[in-house]
Parts: sequence; C-alpha cells; structure tokens
Amino acid sequence: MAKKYGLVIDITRCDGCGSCMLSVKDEYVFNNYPGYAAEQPCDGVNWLWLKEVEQGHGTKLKMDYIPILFPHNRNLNPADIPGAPEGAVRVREDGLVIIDPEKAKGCKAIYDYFEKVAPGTVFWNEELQLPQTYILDAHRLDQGDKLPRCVEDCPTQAMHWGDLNDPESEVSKFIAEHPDEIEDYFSTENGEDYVVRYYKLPKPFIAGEVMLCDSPDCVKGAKVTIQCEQCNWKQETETDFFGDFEFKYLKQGRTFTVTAEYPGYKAKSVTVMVDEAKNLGEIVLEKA
Amino acid sequence: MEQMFPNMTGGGPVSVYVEDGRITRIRPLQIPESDFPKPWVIEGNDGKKYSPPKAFRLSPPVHGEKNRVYSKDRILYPLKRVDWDPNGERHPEMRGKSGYERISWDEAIDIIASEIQRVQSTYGEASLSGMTSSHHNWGVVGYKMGPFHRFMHMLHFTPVYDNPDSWEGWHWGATHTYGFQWRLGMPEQFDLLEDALQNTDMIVFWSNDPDSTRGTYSGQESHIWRVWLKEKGVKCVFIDPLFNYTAAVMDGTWFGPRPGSDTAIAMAIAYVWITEDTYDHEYVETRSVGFDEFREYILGESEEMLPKTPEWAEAQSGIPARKIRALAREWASKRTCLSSGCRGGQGSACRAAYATEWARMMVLLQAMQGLGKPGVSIWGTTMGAPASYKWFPGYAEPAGQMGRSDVAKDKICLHNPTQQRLFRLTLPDAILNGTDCFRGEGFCGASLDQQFTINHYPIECKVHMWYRYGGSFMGTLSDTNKWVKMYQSPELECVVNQDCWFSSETNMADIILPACTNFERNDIGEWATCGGYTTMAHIGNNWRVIVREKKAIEPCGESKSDYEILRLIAAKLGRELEFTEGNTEDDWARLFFESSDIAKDGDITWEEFNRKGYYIVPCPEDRHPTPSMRWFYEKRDADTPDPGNLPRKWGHPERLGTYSGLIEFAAQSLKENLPHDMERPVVPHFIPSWEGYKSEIWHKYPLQIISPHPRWSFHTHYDKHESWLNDVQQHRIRIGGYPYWIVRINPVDAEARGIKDGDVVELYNDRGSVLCAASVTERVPLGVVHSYGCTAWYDPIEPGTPGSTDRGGCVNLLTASTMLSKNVPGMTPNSCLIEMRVYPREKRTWEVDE
Repeated sequence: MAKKYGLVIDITRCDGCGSCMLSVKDEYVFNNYPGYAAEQPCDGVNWLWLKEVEQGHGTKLKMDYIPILFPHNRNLNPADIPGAPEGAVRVREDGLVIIDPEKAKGCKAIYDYFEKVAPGTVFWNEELQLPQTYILDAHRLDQGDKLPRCVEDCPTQAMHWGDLNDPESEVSKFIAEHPDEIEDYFSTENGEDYVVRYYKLPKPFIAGEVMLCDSPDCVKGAKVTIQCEQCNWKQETETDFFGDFEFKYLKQGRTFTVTAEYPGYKAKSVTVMVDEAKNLGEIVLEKA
Repeated sequence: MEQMFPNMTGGGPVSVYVEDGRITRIRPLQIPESDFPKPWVIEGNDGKKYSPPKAFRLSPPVHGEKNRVYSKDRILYPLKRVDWDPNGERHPEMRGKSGYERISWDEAIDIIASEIQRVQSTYGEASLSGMTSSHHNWGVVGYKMGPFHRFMHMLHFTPVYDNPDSWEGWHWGATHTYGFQWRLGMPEQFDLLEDALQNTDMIVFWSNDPDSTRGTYSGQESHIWRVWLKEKGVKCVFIDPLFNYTAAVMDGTWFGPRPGSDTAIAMAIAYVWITEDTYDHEYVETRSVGFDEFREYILGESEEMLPKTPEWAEAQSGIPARKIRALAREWASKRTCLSSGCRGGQGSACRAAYATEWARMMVLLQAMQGLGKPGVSIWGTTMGAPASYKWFPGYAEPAGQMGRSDVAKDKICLHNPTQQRLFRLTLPDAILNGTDCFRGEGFCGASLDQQFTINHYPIECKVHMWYRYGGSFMGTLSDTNKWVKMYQSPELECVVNQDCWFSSETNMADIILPACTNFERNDIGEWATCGGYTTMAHIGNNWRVIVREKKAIEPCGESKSDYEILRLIAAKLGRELEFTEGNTEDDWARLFFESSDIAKDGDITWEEFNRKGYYIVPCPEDRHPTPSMRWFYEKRDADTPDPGNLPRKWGHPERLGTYSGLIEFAAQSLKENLPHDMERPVVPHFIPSWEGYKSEIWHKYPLQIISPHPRWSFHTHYDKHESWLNDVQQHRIRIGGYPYWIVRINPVDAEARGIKDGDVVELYNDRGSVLCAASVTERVPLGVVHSYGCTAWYDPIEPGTPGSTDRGGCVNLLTASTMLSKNVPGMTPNSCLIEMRVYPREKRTWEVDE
C-alpha cells in the first residue's frame, strides 16, 4: 500500500525549545533541493515557528507552545488556487504538498491563497519571487530517511510521525491511544484533511483556591464541581494540598458554574463565561 | 558528493555534512542503530521500564552551528587598531572607539612576540597576564585551558582566578554545610534518575529551570526524564520569580517570590518542621552538628530575633503564609526531592546578595528530611543516568590539559614562579587602582580553607600586557562599564584578543587574532565530560559518546587553530619546542586518548577510533547503583564513583568534607575562621539585600531585575554570532530591523509606565542604561522584571564610552560590583534595582521603518 504520512504534535510535551525550528533552518538555508524547495532566506523568516500561548492570571498560569508549520492538506485541489500555474503546486500520493520551486516562480497568488487557509505557513521570498514552505523534508524521505528533521530533533518526542497506513507506525499507535483527541490547528470547514495535526491544543481553563472562613490553612480535599451551563457536561475534582483546583481544556465561549463544597461548610458557586482562562482567586466557604 | 564528519560541541555530538568544501547541514551524530550498545533500563515504582531513545538530543542553538561557523561576526584576518602604534602613540583611550586595519600573520606574530619581550623585560615577567572565556568550542587538545595555559605559564604570566559565577552561593555557602568543596559546592548526582523514578513523590524546583540550563553540557538529554516524571504523576512545585520554561511544561504549582526572599521562605519551612516536629530526629542527631543553635535562630529564641514563621516569610516574599505552611507539611509527609542548583540550577537565588545563606538552607532543609534517604535528594534533574564510569580526559582537569597532564614530558603549568594572582571580579579595579586585595582562590576545590586566604596584588609587578582569549565579560560579569574603563587605561600598553568571533570585548584590543572553530581542526572530546570539579559529567547524557572531532572544512578566512597561533608566537620567541614538545595537535590527541581507560582497557584502538570517528561507551549490564548520599544516610563509606572525594583521600570515607565530617547546621569552618562575620554567620541568617525590596534605593529604582542564565544561548555563545537566534521570538525581537534583547515585565508595572508589549524600553539606574524589547507578561510578579544575563552584544550608542546607553541588551551594565558579602567574593547580578521607561522612536535613529 502507498504511504500516507501523518504527523501529530503532542502539545503537552512541547517545552518550546525550538530545536525543530532551527533544524528546519539548517536543512534549507544555503541549500537548494531542485524539484522540492529552493533555499530558505538566512534571516527574518522561520518556515516552522513556535506560537507561544500564555493563559491565566496571577500564580495560575499556563504557557504552551504550538509548532506552526505548513499542514499539508491531502484534499487540496491545486486547481482551486486562483492564478496558480499548472504543476506549481502538487499533492503527492503520500499527502505531502510541494510548491514547485521552478513552476511557482513569480506566482504570489499561491502565497495569498495559503495565507488565507493556513496563515503563517507559506512565505513569499521577495528575492527569488517565490512562494515557499516547509515540505517536511520530502526530499530526504524520498531518499530513505525515516524522519523529517523536526521530528528527529525533538528532545521530548512530542512529534509523532509515520505512515498512517501502517498500524505499527509511531503516529498510528499514538492516534490509536487518543482516538478522539486529535485536533487541527487550521480550519477544516472546506474538507481539508491535514497531514499535520495536534494533540491537546491549548484551551481555556478555570483555576482557583478553596478556603474556609475560620481556618488560616490551605484546604486539601475540598470537592469542586464544574458544570457547563449550555450543555450537560460535568466534572468533579478535589483541591490539592495548596487548596488549589483547576479544570482544563474547557470549551471557549461557554458559561460554567463552579461549586466548592466542604463538610460542615456552605457550598459556594461561581458562574463565569469562559472567553479566556479564569483565575477565580480565593473561594471562601462560610460555616454551615 | 556529500561527506560526513563527526564532531563535538558544548551541547552535544554532531555529524557535519560537507559538500564542495562547505558545510551543508549539521545533525545530531548519526550512527547506525547497530552501534548503539544495549541501553540501560530503569524499573520505576509504577512498574514501567524506562530506557532512553536511540538518539542524541542537542542543545537548541547547536542546530544552528552552520550559521555560526559562517557568521558575519567571524574574525577572518589578523587586525591592528588603526591608532595603536607599538613604536609610537598607543592611544589606549581610543579602545572601543577606533577601527582596525588588516595586517598579515607575520606582522601580527612579530608585534605580539616583540611586545611580550618588551613588556616582560621592562617590568618583569609577571607584567603579562591573560585569561580565557568558556564554552565557545569543545575539545581536549585545542580548547581553552590546554594550549592557552601551557603557553602563558611557559611565559610565567600572572594567572587570573575565575569566580564560580554560575553557582556562587553553593561554592561559598553550601560547602560549609556538607562539604563537596571538591565539586565546588554542588552535590554528587550519581544514580538520582533511578532514585527519583523509584522513590520520589514530589519535586520542589527552587530557582531552577533545567529545561533552559540543561545541566550545562548535556544538550536536551534529560528533557525526556522530566516528561517521564510528569507523566508518572510526580507532583512538581516551582519557586522562582520567573514562571520558567520547566514550570510551563511540567504543569505544576508556581510561586514567584520577591528576589532575595528565598532564604526567608526556606527558614519558614524549617520553622514549620521544628514546631510541628516533622523532621528526621535520628538523622539530625547522629549526622549533624549545631542543630540546637540553628533551632534557636529559627524559633527566634535569642538575640531578640524574630521567630521565622510563615507569616514573617510572607512579609518578605509576598508568598502567602498558608502556602508556605502547606508546602512544608507536604514536603515532610512525602518523599521529596529538592531540585535547586547543582548542574541545571544556576538560577537567580544563588547569584545574589547573601546567597550563601540560601544555598546553606537548601542543604539544611533536605538534611532535616534525611538527605540520602530513598527519594530524598538534592537533584537538579539534569544528571544521574546510569553509566559506565571509565575515565576519559576532560578539558577542565589537569589530566586533560597539555600543560599539566602526564602525557606531557614537561608539565609547564606546574612551575610558573609568579606568585601574584588577580581575581576576575576585581581585575578592572586592580588595573585601574594599581593594587588589589581579595579573599579566596577563585575555584576553591582543594579545601574549605582556600576560601579564607587573603591575596594582595601586586607582588612581583603590575600588569601591562593583557592577552584575552574569547571576550564575553561585558555580558557575563557585573557592573561591566568598569571593564571599558579598564581597557582604556594607559596601564595596559598592549591588549591582544584571540577569538573566532567578534564578541563584546574584541574591539577593546590592539591586536585581534582570528581563531578557527573546532569544525575547522582535529581534536578529541567526550560529550559533556569536563572532568575535575564535575567529574563524570557524562551522567547528564543518556549515552556516553566519545568523538574523534574531525576537521570538516578549511579554516574560514585566514583563521588558525588556537594551538597553531600560540605555536607561531612561541616559535618567534625561540621557544617552539618547549611549547609543542614536537607534538602536532593530532599527536596530542592520540596521547590523551591513549591515557584514557577506554584505550588502556582495549575497548577500542586509536586506529579504529580514528577511522570510525566515535565510540559509544556501553553501560555495564550488571551495574550496581550508588545513589548520591545514600552511603551517608546508611552510615557507610562513600561508594559513589567520585575520584575527587576528599575525605576518602584523607582516610575517612564515611565523612563529609566539612570540618566535623557531618552536616553542619552551625558551620565549624566559619566558626573557626570568621567567627564574627555577621554576613555569613556560623548559623545561616536571613539578611535583606543592600539592593532589594524596600532597601534605601528601592524608592528611586523600584523594579527588582533578575538575570539568570539564558535559554537560547550558552552564556554569551551563539547569541549574536548565530543570526538565526534573532528570529527566535523568545530570545530577541526585531523592531525596526534591530534585534533587541527581551525584558519581561508584569502588566501592572508596564501600564504604570505606559509600556506596551513590543515597545523598546530603557532599563536604567545609576550604573548604566540598556535598551530592550518589552514583553508584557504575568510570568513575572509585580515589582519584578526578568531579562536573561549573558548577551553577546554590547552595542553602546557612543562606542567606547563607559555609561553610554547600550542597545545590545547587556543588562550586566546595570548590576552591582558588590560581592555576596564582605568576606564572600562572588557576584550578585540578581540583587539589582532599576527603573524602566519607553525609549521613543525618534531617539532610535539606527532603526529603519518597516
């Protein structure tokens, strides 16, 4: 069976070290790969870059990194790119999308098109008059390399790569472990089927601390529940030894009610709209 | 046709790909899977088996070595300052201001040799001094101390003591609690990965960001360990004014105390343990001295001292008392690892006013919980993989240096008759004032008593010629405007700088010599192995990798290897054979290789090693773990593979390196030598910083700045020279075409000053002025700003003018020269107050509109 490449990036493991970003530069700066890619400008652009996402307030902070790279839409029909000459963009059988360094010359429309569907992943090279992108080292894979450089150099093995048609491949196994949690970063509303996908993209969270009106100490083991006001989704947790609790990966834009309970004290509820991460601060329970 | 050459860097082993004489790419060392020996296996207490991936994880900037080799900053030709005439006017006041003209190697060597002869015959041999920087290259033969020390000691120069700049508090403080002076105050780390995976419930990361500092040389080998610990469910707590990168990925609980208050928090934890009786009595009673005095201080039972309650610590730190109490209780009830300092630490708390007290408290806290007990360790989380302990030379130990090793016929470095010494931190003062007096002997690794010696300069004669190898100090030391003043002193008649790149001190020299990188010459080197004070540093790696560093390309421009440059000068002085002993660099490489256990045991021959280019040392299958300090906990003789262990040499292998051989809550070494020093008292004290929260000058400069070691560069290295890092948005931000260093400021502090994210701002105090790009973030608490130390870029608006506003992000222009305390000669970049304001566009004439 033909290969069908897939890459799933585990955001929980990415510490934003940028090894992927720099190794992509190493692969393409000063190097030409005819038929695949012309050289990347030395400075001022990263074909793979890191988006830093800081969420929360006070001590309840989270910081995530999303490696952003050309997502390679298997369902792309190059004919849909207005103004692109025949053969300037091609979708390979394995799903990788190549912007031909010769045939795409002078065609800024290709850049404009991708800037709309996957912003920040295709770059206009002013000097060469060429739209360029990160091709996941197709030129090396075709010569027998097992991994793209960005995957090879990830110190926390956050990047899961391989052939989706092979159930034993690294990426297939990872998807099998998390079948319902693989996400896309860019919109798929036009039927896009991306090679590059993500696990646990950053989402808003609610955090806070439960305290008791008559105790100076942190309260461990207080029961805290969260309920979505728009749906029936519910979750329960307990405060840790700092009295802290958190609910992660919440749906943005929904309203949630958080209720704190502790034996001998009155339960207390807080309702918030989660447009962004919320630190509810100290929830002080009064005596029952 | 693409060729591949093995090499080694300060951040991991690489394969250098070359086509038509140019480097095309650089990857982690590529070896066939069959060349990986059997990996070690650790069985965790979760039943899982942990083994390393078959790959080598480089430090991030090492992926850009190609960019750095071909940097626009490379020095390509010998240069002479245009207005420096060795036979006429020397214009020292123009250093840093004037331009350079290209000269030939013959001219350069002639001038340097004749200046050495002139200065030494006029003033005395000791009038020549010089020193190296660290970490720009790698290799046993050609890097740093090897050839440079051999050459300079041959000429009887005045050596300059280094200060332990990355871990001051541990060196000057922790040593007096548990010894380890032979490790400069950092504890042994053997087998602590296994210990943590099997025994540890919680890790308290205190002023430690291992994902950024990476155990010094081990690249990102330990990152997967922390992923394992996180996914295993080990609870993590972070105490650091910066919500650091490790905290972000480990997703633990974060506390951002005010800089300078860490000691108070530690004392409050001890207070909780004493008052709630949750410390290890048996351990304290049988393995320590001075606990009663310590308890008295903590409880505030004498001298009208306050009890060190969590409420007291809250007032100092801003961390709620209930959180401190909760942490103390959890810590005592679980098997807790303290991850502070020690190879990977090097955070802000140990490089600050009275940082001795914090480092001492770190040791004493773990002592109260039975340091050495399974799961209870002081572990940076960047070292402690199972490994073979066969010896291979490292650059930082005598046996790995061509002027001190047995492989040399003449150990030249050992018979330099010059008595006088300079000290790096006070060197500018010594030159400018003509005299100096300082305590200690730099790295005091031979005994605790070395810390107390008093040195006077000059003894023989004043220094008039300064030979600098590398040039990073503008970015790495403190109050560095004084280095500009030193360089412009007429006392220095000749300044030479030998480096691969233009660095922050390079254009202070009269003669600049171009050195090549280790990609342009041959050498040998083991990954991370520096030897000496951090013996067996390869335990920071998952695999032991020894590489035959092979010249991949011809030296760029007219650059030459350091060894070759020094050989040429020696030849001019008529002392070539004395310097080389007839050896080429390859001869030295082979001699050092043959001296190693690897060669002596016949594991691989030189011929095979030279042909293959690398050797991966297998981890013994029948290994017997010797977790650090377990021997002390179990009251046995030390069994860790630490050849530097001093008590073992003294015939007391069951003892620590302290005077008593035990943990010292009241330090006997301080009691005996400096009994009345109230700034490093016998029992650790909390002493507010002279320049900190609510100190006198705080009302004028109310922002506390911390500048710990950087994430994206290795100290100054890779920054500036590797232009790719200018596009790493967490490292520098381009504004108007200029890549500014980053300063992080809390949104409330920013708003009060009208500062928006991405603004160019001026950081200033009475000592200096520096421009940075503002990153407005809650990663720093109110009143605290963060900017990494160690920029390579010193770019004053008025070149060569001390005090001129710098654009390069050299925040150490702002930090104080004040030492840790009156008898502790360490640097304190994290006790610094500043103010910040927007630096308007119209003043930034060097920018271009985008």
